[in-house]
Amino acid sequence: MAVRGANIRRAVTSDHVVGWAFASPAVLLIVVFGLIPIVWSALLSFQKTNLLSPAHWVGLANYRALPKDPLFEQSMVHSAIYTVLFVPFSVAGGLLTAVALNRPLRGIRIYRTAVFVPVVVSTIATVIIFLWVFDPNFGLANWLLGKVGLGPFAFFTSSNGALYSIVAMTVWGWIGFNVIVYLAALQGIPRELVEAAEIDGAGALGIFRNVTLPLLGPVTLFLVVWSSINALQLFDEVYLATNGGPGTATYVPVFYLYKLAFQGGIAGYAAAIAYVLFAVILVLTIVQLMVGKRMVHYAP
Amino acid sequence: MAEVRLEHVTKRFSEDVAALDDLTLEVADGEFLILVGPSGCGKTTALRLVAGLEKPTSGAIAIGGRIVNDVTPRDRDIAMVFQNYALYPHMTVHRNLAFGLKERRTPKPEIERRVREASAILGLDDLLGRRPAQLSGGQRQRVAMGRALVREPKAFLLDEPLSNLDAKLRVQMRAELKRIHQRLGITTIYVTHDQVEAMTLGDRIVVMSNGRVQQIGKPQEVYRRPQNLFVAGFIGSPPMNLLRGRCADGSIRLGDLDLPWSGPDAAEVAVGFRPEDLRPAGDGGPSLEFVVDVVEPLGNEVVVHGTTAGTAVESGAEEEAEIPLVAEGARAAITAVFAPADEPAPGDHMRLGIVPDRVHLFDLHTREAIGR
Repeated sequence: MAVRGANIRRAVTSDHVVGWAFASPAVLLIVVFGLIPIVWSALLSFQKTNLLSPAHWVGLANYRALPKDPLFEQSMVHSAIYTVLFVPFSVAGGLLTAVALNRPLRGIRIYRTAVFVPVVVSTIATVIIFLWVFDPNFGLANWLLGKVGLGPFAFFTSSNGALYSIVAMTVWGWIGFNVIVYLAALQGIPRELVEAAEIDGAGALGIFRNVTLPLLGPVTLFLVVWSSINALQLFDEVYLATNGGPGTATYVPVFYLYKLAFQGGIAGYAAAIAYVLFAVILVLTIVQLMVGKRMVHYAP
Repeated sequence: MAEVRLEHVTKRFSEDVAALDDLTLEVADGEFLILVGPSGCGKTTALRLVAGLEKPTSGAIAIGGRIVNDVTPRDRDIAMVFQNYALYPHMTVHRNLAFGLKERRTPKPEIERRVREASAILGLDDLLGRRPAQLSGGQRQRVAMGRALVREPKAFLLDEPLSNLDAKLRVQMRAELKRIHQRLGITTIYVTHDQVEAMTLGDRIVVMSNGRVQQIGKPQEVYRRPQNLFVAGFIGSPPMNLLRGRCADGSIRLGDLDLPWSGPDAAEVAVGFRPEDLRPAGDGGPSLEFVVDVVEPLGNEVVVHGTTAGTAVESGAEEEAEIPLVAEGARAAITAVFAPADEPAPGDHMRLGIVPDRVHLFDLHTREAIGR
């Protein structure tokens, strides 16, 4: 008896068991909310199902239907426009803001905090603020634009302007993250390199272009990849601010597939959209990394 | 090329501490001047002030006769070599060399000519396409040197350029630096804490401590006639032995040693003698009792550490507190350098002969040298 008790105790207290015990909550979460949905939605994309009644196996039919779907095409175009605007504005804007904040100004901490606040504010709060700012009749934006003789604009309620209003709102909401990352990177640039460039005869712009910018290359690549992935997965802001409207003016893939799967009961087809989007993101990321590898220099 | 002048230059980073205190210095056209001293002595601050990377709190800095206090580093026409080289990591060696010229809008053929010339002088021809990360420490040092050379500036400022190299390479690069200076004759200010570099490279050396100049002079002059205790303890390796002594009645007394003395009486003095001026005593002549502790044979000479009766005097140049070799406070550690033939054994009791002419005397209160 005593021998068996000792064996059990030894087994329970071994590193192997203890290790898995510590890791299991995280592993469980990843499996339940990560792995299972990934595999399940892959299977779904080959089926016709509304998630309630039994599913039929349809092979590649869902994928074949996609090119003929004008709403899918529209949402992909919106997504492309959004990404092409959001990524440069948030990355370049983040860089310029970081450069402006990377100096010993009075009250610099307050500015830095202010820039980061929108990142930690929940999306719903951001959207409520922007619904008010972009209100066509009583909004701050039209009032200010009116002062310089512009507008009024309909913003979220205009089929031409809604997508761009979302770009503006999300750039405001996300720029703080890029600023913080750039600020950290700027502070990691060795001071002697800037001093060497100064002595070499470079002006402020020359130093920025020839020393600062190249040394920020790895961080810029990271932010471009990261922002692109986020931009292509846009959902919350669209859902809350415009609900895809007016009409279908702000339909983007994730919003569209959400509507299909959870409001239209067309889960198989929605899963196929999700997988196409995944493929697009994967290819874009690989291309970005390949191009980046040639342009970005990593310090030894 | 130009001369560099500092007049009563003071630099304070905070209210109560002067990193550099009233420095007045003239570097002649084409001179190789060394600023040497322990860390925190203000030598790098002085160099950065000349470069324009810091602004003086007071005083004037002139390069080539022009006051440059308000001139940016870019317009001072100086080149600097940094301690860790500060090569642009994303540029090839060629671009690193050409960068300064490009920023100054030098015509392309001229850039090419100067880069080729510098790379020939420094043996960089095969490395022009490489990035700094693909270079060894010695090669990076050459590139840093080359980046300064191509500029053909009025003056070179070098901030401990050899300190990141291993010992062998340092000796080699030291000679190379001297060769380059002899060839080009550009005014050079060179900062180091290494007194061997100071002694071998400089036309003149400036010994600094706590933001103040301790002595300026030719290397041999500073070595032979240190003006104060700090310089005595700082210049020379192994450092000068400094012991408490007494000048009275026409002689200097120190332990059982008695040296003739013709100067005025002084109650207490520091008596200094260089390790290489101590020899196993022959017959006659003044000598000092000595017990050998540690023997370090170096091939061409033997460094002998031991003790003698007396009290050591601190010069203020010690890097850190010495570990006492003996417990009794009545004995002082001293070092001697012998010829290999005279190598003693640890534990030997012997007498060290002293040449009276070679003895240095310092006032213990003012810490200044006493003339003889």
